[in-house]
Amino acid sequence: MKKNVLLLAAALMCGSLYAQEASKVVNPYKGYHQLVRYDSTTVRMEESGLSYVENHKRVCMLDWTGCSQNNVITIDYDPQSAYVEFVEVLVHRANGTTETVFNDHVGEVYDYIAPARLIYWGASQKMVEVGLMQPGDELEYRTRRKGFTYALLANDDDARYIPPMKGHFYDIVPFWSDSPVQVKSYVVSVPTHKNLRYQVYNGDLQEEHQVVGDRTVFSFSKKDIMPLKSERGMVAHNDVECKVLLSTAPNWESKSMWFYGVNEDYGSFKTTPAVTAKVVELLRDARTEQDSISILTHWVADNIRYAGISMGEGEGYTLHNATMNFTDRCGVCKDKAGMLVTMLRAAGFESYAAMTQAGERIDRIPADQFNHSVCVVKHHNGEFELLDPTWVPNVRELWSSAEQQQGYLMGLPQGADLMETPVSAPENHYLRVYDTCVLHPNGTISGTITITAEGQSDNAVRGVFNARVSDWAANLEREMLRIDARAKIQKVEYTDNDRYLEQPVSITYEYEIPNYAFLRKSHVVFVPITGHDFFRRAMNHLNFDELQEHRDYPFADRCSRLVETHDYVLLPQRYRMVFPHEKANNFRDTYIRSHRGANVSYNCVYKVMPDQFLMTFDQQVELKKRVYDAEEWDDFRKVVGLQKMAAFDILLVR
Amino acid sequence: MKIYRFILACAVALVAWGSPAAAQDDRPDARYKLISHTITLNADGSTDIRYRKELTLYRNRAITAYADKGETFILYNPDNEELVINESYTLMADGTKVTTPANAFINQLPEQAAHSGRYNSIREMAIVHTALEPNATIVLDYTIKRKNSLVHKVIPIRQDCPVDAFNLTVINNDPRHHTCYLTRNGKTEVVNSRETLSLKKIDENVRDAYMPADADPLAYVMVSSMPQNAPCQIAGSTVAVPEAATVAQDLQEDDNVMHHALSIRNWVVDYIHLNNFSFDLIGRHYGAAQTFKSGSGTAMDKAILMAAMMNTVSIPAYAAWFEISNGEARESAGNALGLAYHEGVCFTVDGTSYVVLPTSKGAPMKYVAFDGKFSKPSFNRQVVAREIPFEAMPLIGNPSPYYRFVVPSESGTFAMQPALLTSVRVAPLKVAAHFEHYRYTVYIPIEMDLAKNLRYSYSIPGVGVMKVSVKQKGHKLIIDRMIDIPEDVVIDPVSQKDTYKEFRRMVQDWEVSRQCYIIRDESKSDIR
Repeated sequence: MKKNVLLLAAALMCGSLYAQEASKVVNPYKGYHQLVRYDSTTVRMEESGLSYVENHKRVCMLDWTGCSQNNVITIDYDPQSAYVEFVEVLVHRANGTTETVFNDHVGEVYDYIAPARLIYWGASQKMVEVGLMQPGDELEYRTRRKGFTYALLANDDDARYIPPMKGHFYDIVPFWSDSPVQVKSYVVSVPTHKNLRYQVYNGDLQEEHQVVGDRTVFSFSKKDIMPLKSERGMVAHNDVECKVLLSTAPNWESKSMWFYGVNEDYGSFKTTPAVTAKVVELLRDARTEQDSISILTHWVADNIRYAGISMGEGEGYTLHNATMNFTDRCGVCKDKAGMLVTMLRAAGFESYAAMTQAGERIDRIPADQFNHSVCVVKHHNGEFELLDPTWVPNVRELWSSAEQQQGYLMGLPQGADLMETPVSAPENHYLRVYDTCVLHPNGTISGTITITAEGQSDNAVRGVFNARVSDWAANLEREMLRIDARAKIQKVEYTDNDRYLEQPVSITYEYEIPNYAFLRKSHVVFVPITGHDFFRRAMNHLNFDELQEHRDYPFADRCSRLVETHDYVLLPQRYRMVFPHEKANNFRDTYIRSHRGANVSYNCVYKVMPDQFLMTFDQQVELKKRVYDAEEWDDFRKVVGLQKMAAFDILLVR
Repeated sequence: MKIYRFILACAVALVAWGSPAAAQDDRPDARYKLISHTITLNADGSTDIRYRKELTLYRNRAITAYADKGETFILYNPDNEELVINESYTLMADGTKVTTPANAFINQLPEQAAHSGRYNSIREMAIVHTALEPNATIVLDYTIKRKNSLVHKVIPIRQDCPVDAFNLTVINNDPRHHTCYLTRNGKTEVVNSRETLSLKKIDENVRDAYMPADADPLAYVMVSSMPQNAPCQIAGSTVAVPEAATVAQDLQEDDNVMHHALSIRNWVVDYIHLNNFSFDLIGRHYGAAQTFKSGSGTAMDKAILMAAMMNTVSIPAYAAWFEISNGEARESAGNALGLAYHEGVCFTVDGTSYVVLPTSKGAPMKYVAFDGKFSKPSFNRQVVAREIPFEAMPLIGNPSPYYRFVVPSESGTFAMQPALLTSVRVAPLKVAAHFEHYRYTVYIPIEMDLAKNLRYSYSIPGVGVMKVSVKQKGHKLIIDRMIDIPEDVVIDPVSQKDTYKEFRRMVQDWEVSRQCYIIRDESKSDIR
C-alpha cells in the first residue's frame, strides 16, 4: 500500500510537470533525441534481502532518432535470480490519443536468451515491440522486478531471488543520464533494523527519510538532469556524475568475509588429482617462490581462455570449481581467478580470490561496485601480491598495470578493507627506441633502429604480432612505412613472440630511406628518425588532443609509461644548428626543450658535434601514473605537444 | 677517426641494448583437417544442410576467444528449420575425447534480431568448444533440416588458416520439381542429381589493403534453388503505403525531386533498424506497412518500404536485386547472390532511372537494365586551375630561412595510402580508375623562394600516368599535379613484380610531392 502511495505521488508530480511542459517550447532540449519526463523507481526490501522493484517511466520522443531508439523496450534479467515483467506499455500520441501497446489483455512480451559474446550464462531479456513512434509521441511504461542480480537458488519460488549475501541489500543508483531527465526519483523501504547506509556522490539530491512502523523509507529525487558533455579520455561517468550508493552491509570487512565464505563453501578451490599433477609438472623447474607464482599465473592466463559458460546455481558470483575449469579450459575472470587460487593452493601457497572494478572508482559505501575478479597470493614474508590471470595473457606482468589506481577487495577469512592498487613506476613500462644512422650526401638516410619495451609497453609493441604469422612481415614493415613510405627494409629481427616471458620484446630494423633529407650546399633539413612516433601503438598518450585547453574531469591514460629515444646521426658535412628565437647566425651546439610537471615530464636534447660530423637527438617522456586529475591536464598536454613537435623538421647549417 | 669513434659508439650501444633472439615458430594459428558441406534437396520438398568441421589448433592465438576459433555460431529459423547437433567434441593433444557439455550450447537471440518482434523467433546456437589446448582438434557435425527447398547460400572455401580437405556435395533427389544451381568462378551449372566439389590443400587467405573483391577463385561457391536468368523485382514494392505517406511528404524540403527521393532514402537508412538476415533463412519479404510500423526489417524489407514511400509522393520506384560496379547498378536475377549483389531501389526522376541502397547513403547510382552492360568509367578530364593561399610552417630552427609548404588536400583526390603498400605484398592490388589534374598558383612573399624545383613523372604501361611539377615563376609557385588511371586495374604483385614496384614508387612520390621547402632570404626582406 505504501509503495503504491509513493508511486502515485511520483506519478502525480511527474504528470503535473508534463502538463506544464506540454505548453512550452522544448528549447533546452534541442539536439537531444528524447526527453525523460519522469523515471521513478520504488523498492521494497524484505527481511531476507529479497527486493521488489517497480519502475515507472515516461519518455518524450524529440526526433526520429529518439523514435527509432525506442521502437522496442527491453528488461535484462537472469532467470535464475530475478523475475521481471512488463505491467503496462502505453503510447501517448502527439494528437492527444493514447494507445495501449501492452497490458494484461493486449500485446505480446518476447522472452529470450539475450545476444551474447564471450559470456554465455543465458542472461535473458524480456521485450515489448512498441513500433515506430513519431516525434512528439510519448512512451509510458511500468515494469516490476523481484530478486537480485545474482542469487543462491533454493526450493521455494521466492527464495531463489534472495541475494547471495542473505538479509542484505545494496543498490547503485545513477542520477545521471545520456538524455535530459525532468524528474528522477528513487524510493526504498527497508526494515529499520537493517541499518541502511547511503551516500550521495558528485552532486546534490533532494533526500528524505521517514520511519513508518518498523520500516524506514528513504527517498531521493533530482530535477532537470542534463547530460554531461563528455571529454575524450575522461574517467567513467559514475566517477564524476551524481549517484547514490546504498548498502545494509556494515563495512567492507563483512563483504570480504562473505566473498571468502561463499566460495569456500562451494568448494571453488578444492584441487583434483589432475590439477595437482599439472601443478607438479609446471613447477618442476621452478627455483623460487616468485618463479612458481609466475609460472602458474601465466599458465592460467594463457591456457584458460576467456569464454564463460554457466555453472547453473550460483553463477555470477561463485567461482567455478577446479574440475569444471580444468576440463572446460575456459571461463570468465572469476573462473580464471578460481583456477589460479586452486593451483597456488595445490602448490602450497596461501591464496584467495579478490574483487575489483576495472575502469571505475569504488566508493566507500560497501555496495557491490565490482565488475572483475582477480586473486591474491601471500608471500612467505606475509605480504599479499595481486595476480590477474585475465589481463595478463601475452603480458610480462602478473598484475596488469593497466589496472593501477583501482579499488579492490580481498576475500579473506578474517575480512579485509577496501584497498587501492598501487601506481606502477614508469620505468616498469619503458619504451626505448635507439637509432644509429648515416645521412648521405644525396639525402638518403640509412641505419639501424631498435625498439625494445617492457610491461604494458612491451604488450603494446607486440601488438604487431597479434595476427596470423603470415601477416607479421607486412605489419612490421608498415610500422617503418609510417615514418616514411619510401623506407626500404633490408633486414628485420625480433624476439620470439611465443616465448614472450623469456625477454622483453626487441625488434631491430636495418633500413634505408632514399631522399629523406633535403640537402643544399649550406643547409640540411630533416626530422631525426626517432622524432617520428615510431610504434605509436605503444604511446597512447599521443592520442590525446593537446590543443584542448581545458578539462573539467579527471582523465585516464592506458598505463604509466617511460619513453626514451636516442638518435645518433652521422652527417655528411660539418654542420651546426640554428635555434628558435635566436638570430639566424647565432649557432650553438645544444638545444633543449623540456617541461616538468608533478607527474609528467618531457625532455629532449638536440646536440651537434661539428668536429665529429655527428648529431644526437635524445628524448625522454615520463608519465608517472594512469589516472590524472583535471588540474594535471595542462602539464600533460604540454608534454604531449612537445613530443609531437619532435616530428617537425630541424635545420642544420654548415 | 671520427667515423671509427661513431661506429664504436654504435657497437657499444647495441650491445648495451641487447640483440633480438631469432627462430620463431611459423606454423599457422590453426588448420582445418576437413570442411564438409552436404546439401540435399529431398523429394518431399524439404532440404537437409549438413556441415562438418575438424579444426586443429596450433597456436595460443587460435585458442583465445578473441581469435574466433573457440566458438561456433549457427543461425537458424525454428519456424522453418530444425537444428540437429550430430556430434561435438574436442580431441585433446593426448587423444582424450572431451564431449562438449550441455551447458556449452546456448540457444540465444542473434544480435541481428534485436529491435524486432517479427524476427524474434530466429535463434543463434552458440557452441562454446571446451578443452581447447595447443594441438587439440575441434570436431563439430550438425544438420539443419529445412521444411522447404529454398536454398540460397554463399559457401566460403578459403579460410583464414589452411584447409587440408574441402568437400561440397549437392544432391537433388527430385530434379523434375526442384532446380538447383551450383555457381563457381562465375560459371553456373544445374545440379541434375548429384554434384561434388573436392579440393585439397587450400592455402589460407591473404588480407591486405586495396584488394579486389572476387579476385580469388577459391573464395566461395554458391548453391541456389532460386530461379535465375530473369529480373526479379520484388512484389508489392510499388504499392504506396498510407501509413508512411505523411512522413514521405514531410521529407520534401524543396521542389527538387531528386532531393526528395534522397531524403526518403536517408530516412529509411537512419531510422529503420536493419535485421541483417539472408532471404533463405526468412523465406519471405515483408510489406512496407509492417516494416514502417515496427521500425525494423531486412535490407529487402527496407528497400520495399523505401520504394513504397517514394511511390506515395509520385516518384516511381521499385525494389529489386542489383549488381554494383563503379557507381552503376545493374538489375539482377532472383538468384543473384555474391559479394557484389545488393538489395536496392530503382527510382525515376525526369525520365532517368537511378538506384540507391536502403543500408547506406552513397550517391545515387546509374541504373543498368537486366540485359545491359556496365559502361566504362568516364571522367571529367577538365584541368582545375585555382589560386591557393600560402600557409607555410616554419621549421624547428625558427626564425630559420626554411619553411615547409604542403599542398592542401582536395576532396575526391587520389587517396591511396603509400604506407599500406608494403614491399612484401602478395595480395592482388586493385587500382580504381581515376583522373585528376590540378594547377595551383600560390603567391609567396617577396623575400621567399622555392628551395628546389620538383619534378616527378611516371608512365606505367597498363596502369596509368602521373606527373607532378613544382616551380617558381616570379613571386608565384606553379604547382601542376596530374594523375590518370583510365580504367580499373588489378596488379598481381607476384607475376607483375616490376609493375607493382613502379606503381608503389609512384604512389609514394605522389604523396611526397605534396610538400616543398621555401627559403626566406633576409636581404630581400631588408630591401622591401
